[in-house]
Amino acid sequence: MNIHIEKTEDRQNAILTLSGDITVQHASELCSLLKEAVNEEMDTALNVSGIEDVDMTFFQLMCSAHRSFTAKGKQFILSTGKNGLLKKGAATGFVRHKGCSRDKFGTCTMVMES
Amino acid sequence: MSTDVHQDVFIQEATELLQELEQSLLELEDNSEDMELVARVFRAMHTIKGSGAMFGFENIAALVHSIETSYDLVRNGKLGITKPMLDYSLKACDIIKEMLTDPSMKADSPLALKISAFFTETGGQAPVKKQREPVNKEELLTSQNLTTFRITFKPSADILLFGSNPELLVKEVASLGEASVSALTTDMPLLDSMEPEKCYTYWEIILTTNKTENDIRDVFIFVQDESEINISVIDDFTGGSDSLKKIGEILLEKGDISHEELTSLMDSRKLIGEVMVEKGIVSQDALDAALKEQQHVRNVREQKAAAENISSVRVPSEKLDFLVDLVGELVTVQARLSQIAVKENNQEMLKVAEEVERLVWELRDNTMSIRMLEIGSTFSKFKRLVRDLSAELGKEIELVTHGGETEIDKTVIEKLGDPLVHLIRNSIDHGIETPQERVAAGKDHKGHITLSATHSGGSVLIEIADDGNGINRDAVLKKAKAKGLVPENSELSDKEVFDLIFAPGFSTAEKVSSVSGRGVGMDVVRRNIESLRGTIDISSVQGKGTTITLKLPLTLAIIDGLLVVIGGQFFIIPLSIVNECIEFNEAAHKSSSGRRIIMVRNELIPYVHLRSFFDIREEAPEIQQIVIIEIEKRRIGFVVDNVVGDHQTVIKSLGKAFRDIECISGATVLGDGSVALIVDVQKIYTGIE
Repeated sequence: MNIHIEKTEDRQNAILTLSGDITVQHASELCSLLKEAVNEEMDTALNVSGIEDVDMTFFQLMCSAHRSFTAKGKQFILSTGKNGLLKKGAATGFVRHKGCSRDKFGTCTMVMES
Repeated sequence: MSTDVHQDVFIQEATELLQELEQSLLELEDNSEDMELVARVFRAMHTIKGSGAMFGFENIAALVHSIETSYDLVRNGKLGITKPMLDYSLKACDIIKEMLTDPSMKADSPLALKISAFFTETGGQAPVKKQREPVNKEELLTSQNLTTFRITFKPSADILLFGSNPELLVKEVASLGEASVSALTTDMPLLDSMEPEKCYTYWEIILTTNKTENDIRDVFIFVQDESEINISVIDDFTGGSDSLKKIGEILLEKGDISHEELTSLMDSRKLIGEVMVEKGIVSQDALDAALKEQQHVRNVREQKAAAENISSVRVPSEKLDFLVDLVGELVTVQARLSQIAVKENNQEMLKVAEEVERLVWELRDNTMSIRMLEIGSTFSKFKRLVRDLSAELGKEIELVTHGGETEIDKTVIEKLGDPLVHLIRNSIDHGIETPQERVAAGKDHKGHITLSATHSGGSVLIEIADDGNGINRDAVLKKAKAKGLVPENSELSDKEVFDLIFAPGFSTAEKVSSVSGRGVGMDVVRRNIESLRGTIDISSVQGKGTTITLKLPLTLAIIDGLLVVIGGQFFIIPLSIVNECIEFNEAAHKSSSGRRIIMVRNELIPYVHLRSFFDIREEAPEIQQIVIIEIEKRRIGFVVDNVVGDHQTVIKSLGKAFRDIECISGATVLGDGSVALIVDVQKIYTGIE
């Protein structure tokens, strides 16, 4: 897994760029990264276009992160490449038509971008 | 968690399993019939193979494959346990232990090859079931026994740590047919309490497949102890499109909402699912899964209907009837050809006659199978009937159907509709009580009518069972006596009393309703069933319910018959009810008893002289034959002059001039052009009774 972190000049947004395989072997590492991000006072976007493979641990972390950010009134979104990942996730059901009741910003990580 | 950690977990698990496996194999040596031990061996082999392949021990998977298949055959009673089998299994355990310490070791050592060869030879080479080919959608949709299952798979939170991959299992289940998969993440914790290698997800898979529930369970065989796996049938394709479940019904069935919650939301003008989510009664996940289920069932039904339309050709039924007539003529001509060939003793002609006979039989079977229709289409019509009539009478009744895939001749199906309507109406009106009466009697407020069909030899059994009040034996008898159907002082058995219901004009309903009670139903029902060469039987327990069983022939066009001779005249007795034929010496029998009863292997069997029954005046031979038949679990004998043998009987009706002849249901033409009459065994039996 490769990680690149980029923050905007006004430090309002952070963009995390992930690439490679984000599977169970890297779940702990990604979880720590997201825990750090949720404690910072900024919205976070995840650029997932470089990700080659994911498994259920990735989707679980995305769901957990989305709930954690939203609970703190901050946004967490998957940016570029989201639909490609969700197509993979669809085989094991990790795709939604609509976010859950906590999805107040309408940014559920498992809803395909139109 | 690295792959090495997974491998370590597997090695530890496999070592423990090997110990258990060895123990079971040793116990099997002393008790080779113990199927529990066989099942234990199979499970251990299956787990070692499955987990081995998952964690890179392909060598172990390759070695165990044929062994596992052999034990699967033993488990299914297709193979017996032998000593060499146990010896080789134990040696395989030793090799697996070595492979666990050295994953690079290949399964190609002389001993490993010998083991594989042995098990392949004993039956372990049947991997067809294991090597799953992609499902051909059209074949699937047009296949028999298509069922849609709802599978809920809740793995242990530690499943990944145990070395199993739930996603692979979900994909494997989905590969069994047409599937819609939902991963439910309702219980996902916030990052603070998240342990990323744990599983917080559970799955709901809606699977349309021709596989069985056991086939699905087999996928989970090595995680079933640590997981919650629920499998239920949600659609067996016996209902029509009107039986598609609504979202509320699906959520209620799954236990996501209570009946009260659903009822309280029914008045809302909004979509019920949205209201439930808004009010926090169900999660969006659960609603999504229910919507997916509804969509899946709708799609599969539409696709199935489309696939069936594509793969079938509509033919007017008259053409089919004509084809059957032609096949019937062909059967007759073929019999004639065979007879001439035998008479002439022409070897060349005999060969041709045999070949023609084989082809005609195949043609007959194929033609008859074209006429066969699934009875489910008839069953589905009754759902509406039950719904409407029960509402009209203020009753709550559910119609349950089984065996909709049972096939029966189209003519039988066409003529079966009216009798079934009568019987179901009777169950609704006379059988099932009102909700208040049922609750007072300690029953569920909702009554059930079960309509089922099964094959039984050359017949189809159709059962209409209700859990209502049952037949009031005394009321039936009283009414029959009042109508003069039976003498005042007569003592009748339950069966005889229930048979009175079929008497013309009989009805015990105190009020005549729009549903029943006019007393014109049951005698007509019996006549219709008998015109189909079927029988009707009632059993009932007061307070518990009534079961009516219809026994119908599979086909009305060509039957297997037993050709017999009486006074030079040929008769046919349907072979499906013939038990045996024995020699009968009238003179010897007369001296021992004056009554018409014969002792056959310590069983007293009444008999009828068909000669005197049909008023045939020619002298009977000294040694005759007695054909013993079985009807309604009772055996009776028919005395005939001679038994010729089995005969493919093409049934011809006797025509209007002979309509009133009793106890003859039709005729057939024999190979030499002579006519054989088909004995209506049921009528004769009823007459004797």
